[in-house]
Amino acid sequence: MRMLVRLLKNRRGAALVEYALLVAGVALISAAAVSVFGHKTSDMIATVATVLPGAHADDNNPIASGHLIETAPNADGSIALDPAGVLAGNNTQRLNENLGYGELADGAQLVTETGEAPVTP
Amino acid sequence: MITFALWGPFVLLALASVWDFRKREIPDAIPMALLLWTMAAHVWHATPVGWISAGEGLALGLALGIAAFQANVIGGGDAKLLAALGALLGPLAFAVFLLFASVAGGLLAIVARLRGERDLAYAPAFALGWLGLVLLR
Repeated sequence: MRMLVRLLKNRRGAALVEYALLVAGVALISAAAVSVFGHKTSDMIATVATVLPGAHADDNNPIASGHLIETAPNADGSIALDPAGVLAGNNTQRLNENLGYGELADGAQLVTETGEAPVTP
Repeated sequence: MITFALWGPFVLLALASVWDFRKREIPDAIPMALLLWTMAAHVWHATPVGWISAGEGLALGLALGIAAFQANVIGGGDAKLLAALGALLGPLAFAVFLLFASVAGGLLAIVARLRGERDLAYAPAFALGWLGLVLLR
């Protein structure tokens, strides 16, 4: 209670420079994280939402942003995995592309650490 | 996200900034006016934020404000301004606003540091954050 009264009586409008810088750094880093990972995360959640029974074009749309996996509306308006599209994109490296690595050499998969040889299946 | 009249709050925040710059104080009338603005927007259905969201935003702003005030990071005027802005925006838009405002605050802090000051007027950061929210969303 005393604390609230102290707050109500205090009209100072100043912040310490160190904290302002600290908070701005945290804000910038989280903004960067959202802009880099936001689409991927929402795609992954959308994939799960799509394959759950009852996904419908009214509540949802086929995933378009990152193409982690191909989905399409069914004839009845529900959204489902798109087997033809998945097959057609079968030899593209979706995860690599999503993470910004682009296509890797034939048979190569994600490189786990710099300097290590690509993991081959 | 926010479609109702945005410039009223901005004028109030600009006023708070000028006051803060000159006297390092924010008059209580400004958070009060923001709360009244919020209530009027609700009464005339001019805001997409529901009553419950407004309450949640107020609680969030108040909690943040009290915590930062107790830690002597911001002044009481800033804390009250935060609570009023939380009520105006609702918790979601308020979070986005905080992002913009803290980045603006960082830039102002760099200027203050270069001028050799230990603390800075934070109301201008709120005004710039509001501008960012309105222009960039």
